[in-house]
Amino acid sequence: MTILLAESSGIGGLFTALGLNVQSLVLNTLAFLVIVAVLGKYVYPSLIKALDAKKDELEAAVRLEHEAKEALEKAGSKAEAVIAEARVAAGEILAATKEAATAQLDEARAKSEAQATRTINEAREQLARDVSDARKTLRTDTARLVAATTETILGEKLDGKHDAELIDRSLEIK
Amino acid sequence: MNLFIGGVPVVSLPAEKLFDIGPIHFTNSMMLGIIGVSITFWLFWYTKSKIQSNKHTRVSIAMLWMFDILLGTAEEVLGSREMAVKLSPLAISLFFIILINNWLELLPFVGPITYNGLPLFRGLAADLNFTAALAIITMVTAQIWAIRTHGFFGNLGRYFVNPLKDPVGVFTGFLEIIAEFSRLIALAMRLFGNIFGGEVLLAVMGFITVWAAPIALPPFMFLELFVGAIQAYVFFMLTVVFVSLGTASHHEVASSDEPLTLAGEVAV
Repeated sequence: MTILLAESSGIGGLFTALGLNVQSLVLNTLAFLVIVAVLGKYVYPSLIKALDAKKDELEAAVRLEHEAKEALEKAGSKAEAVIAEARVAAGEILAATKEAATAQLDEARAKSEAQATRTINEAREQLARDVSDARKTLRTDTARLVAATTETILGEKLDGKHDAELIDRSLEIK
Repeated sequence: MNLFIGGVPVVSLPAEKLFDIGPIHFTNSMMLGIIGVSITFWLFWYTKSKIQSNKHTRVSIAMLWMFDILLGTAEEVLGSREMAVKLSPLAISLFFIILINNWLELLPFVGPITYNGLPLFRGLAADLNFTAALAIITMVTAQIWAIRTHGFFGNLGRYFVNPLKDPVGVFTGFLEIIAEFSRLIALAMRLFGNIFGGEVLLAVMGFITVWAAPIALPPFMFLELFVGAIQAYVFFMLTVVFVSLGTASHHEVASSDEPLTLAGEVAV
């Protein structure tokens, strides 16, 4: 490989060897300054404006998001408070309802117990009455039957007087 | 530049003069530079027109995105949106022109097409006149901004200190003057060296691999694409940093433990 250097001599030899020359340096400098001036005047302002607008939009969006988040948090805490309040009210209503239901149940139970007791007592009384009536009827029927049997045996009609005489006679025989 | 004479690649350190127009010598680096600058202008005008018509394309979005990143970086370094906007024509133009020209030089027509036995095109940044011009503009701009911020004598105070008041400051001031010149030379030589070196690398790899060049060269071309983008960004970043250092108060610079620019330059 061959490396070509520009002809060089004297103190400025190094710069010359590297190809540095004032005319080219000035030309490059001026050309670049023109590029910077043109881009800086006609292009960059538009780009910076667009970036700023985009940045503003982003900031606005972030601000809105922040506000929405705050509103959401507020609504959330409000909802929690409402839910807690509703829970308390529901609890109270439930307790009151339970209490009322228990009272009604107790009342109904007491009423039904009283009714049952009454019914049982009435039934017992009725039963006692019926038993008593049956006994009376039985006694009457038995007496009649005895009288009829006796009338049949004796062959005579029995009445109170006759009956008493028969009883006395049987007592005297004994 | 990578002309083959007698089957051997010939590398010319200076850009070759093609023809004269009046007193102006036109070199092959200027030829590619004209194309690069035209493409840069077209890209910016295209983006501007798309922004104005509000009909974005991928190209305009990509341009605007890169512009936004560079402007944001400048704003971060300078600490002020206003300053970043004022410096953007220089710093961002530097980036795009260097980037586009660095990538253009990888195209196949750069080198093989000749005019009067010389390559018609050569990478713009492979011409030291261009990189030196950019470095001079950058350093002069940094000085102008420093003077606007601190005043003429205030800016001189960065370099010349009363030895009775601050004997150490005299030494640091002297070092600061040397640093200004070294920054200028480093800016110019770094870009030139990287791009010129890349061209030489591609020429040598093409020469060595001969018929296998279509397979062997692409990795190096990708490397050069990367180097071209990195160098454009480095030049942009150092421009912003130098301006930032010039506009920072003396106290801030003096109290900084980290030698920002020197470290940055060494790292690059």
